[in-house]
Amino acid sequence: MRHVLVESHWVVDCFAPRPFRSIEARALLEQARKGELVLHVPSVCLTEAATVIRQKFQPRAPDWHRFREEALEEGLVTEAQNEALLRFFEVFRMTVLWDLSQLDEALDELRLTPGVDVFALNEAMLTRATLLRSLSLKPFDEAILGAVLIRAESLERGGEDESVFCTLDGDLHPRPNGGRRLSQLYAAAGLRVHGDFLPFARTDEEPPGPGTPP
Amino acid sequence: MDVMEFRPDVIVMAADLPRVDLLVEVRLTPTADELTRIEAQLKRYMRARNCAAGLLVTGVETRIYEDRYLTRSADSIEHVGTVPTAALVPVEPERTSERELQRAFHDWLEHLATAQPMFLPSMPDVRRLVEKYVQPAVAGGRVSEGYFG
Repeated sequence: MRHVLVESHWVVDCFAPRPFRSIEARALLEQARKGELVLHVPSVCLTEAATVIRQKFQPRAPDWHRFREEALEEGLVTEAQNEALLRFFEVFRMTVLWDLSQLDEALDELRLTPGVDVFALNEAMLTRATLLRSLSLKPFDEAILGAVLIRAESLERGGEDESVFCTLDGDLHPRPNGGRRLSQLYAAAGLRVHGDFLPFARTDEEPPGPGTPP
Repeated sequence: MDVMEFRPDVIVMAADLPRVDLLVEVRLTPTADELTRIEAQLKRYMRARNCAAGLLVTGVETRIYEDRYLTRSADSIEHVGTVPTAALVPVEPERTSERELQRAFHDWLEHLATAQPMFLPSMPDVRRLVEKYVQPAVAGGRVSEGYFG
């Protein structure tokens, strides 16, 4: 079985309000639902992602409205187009507000989704995190890295040999300069690292749209 | 009073942009005439700053304003709801000073900026209005007191 470990970026990209969702992140969830892979999500990432989503993905559009007004005044858009834009912004706003109001329920559902394992950090993971100080990561990243490494090692011991860590966090990427230690840690845990959410994407298949319900 | 002489008591700005997202004016016990005058000033100031949300706070009630962007004047800003001030911050109009009320609002908005649901009001009707009009303006923002020049 394929195993994909993710962190907060995936949760944000998957559960942000619809206009902001990532097609690739949603596709990964869909693959888990279909039983094509198992998705491993540290539970602390749900908490962090919820805060990020509520802070960063609000329906603010004053700059767009100001430009729309100027464009109307300068004749760049017609009255009819202006009306359509006003309607569009209202739909955008109501959609974002609705999705934000459903966020907690959506994250709770994720815990129960087939193919998804939302796991709490255990003592071994926290202990491993304390041993990662020399990497000079942020404390939260240390905890996530500790969790991912311990989970991957556990999978490998169980005979699983296809585990991937999909992370958009640049600090967790093994880089050519300075990332050698990280590369060694990932290799020792039997983990490949991807900088996107397409670890097993097939090129002949269109991913689902961002509006696909969770 | 000229719009630029208006001094909002609390300002919320976007975290990483020079954009004003919420203006708050606090008057503990205004007369009806004062309230009408302050409301007009707040609306004009919101338009001048391209700020989409505003609050006019008294010791009893908090009025919520929103720019509907339907005209290019302060007429575009509508009074979209009123909630009891005591449902948002601890206030006793006979004991609380205006300064204390300003401070209480500043602190509440700082909490609201963290976007943690625990800081939303518990009364369902009040919570619904705050979620719709105030939280979107404040979440992730920078809350400051006094006049923004």
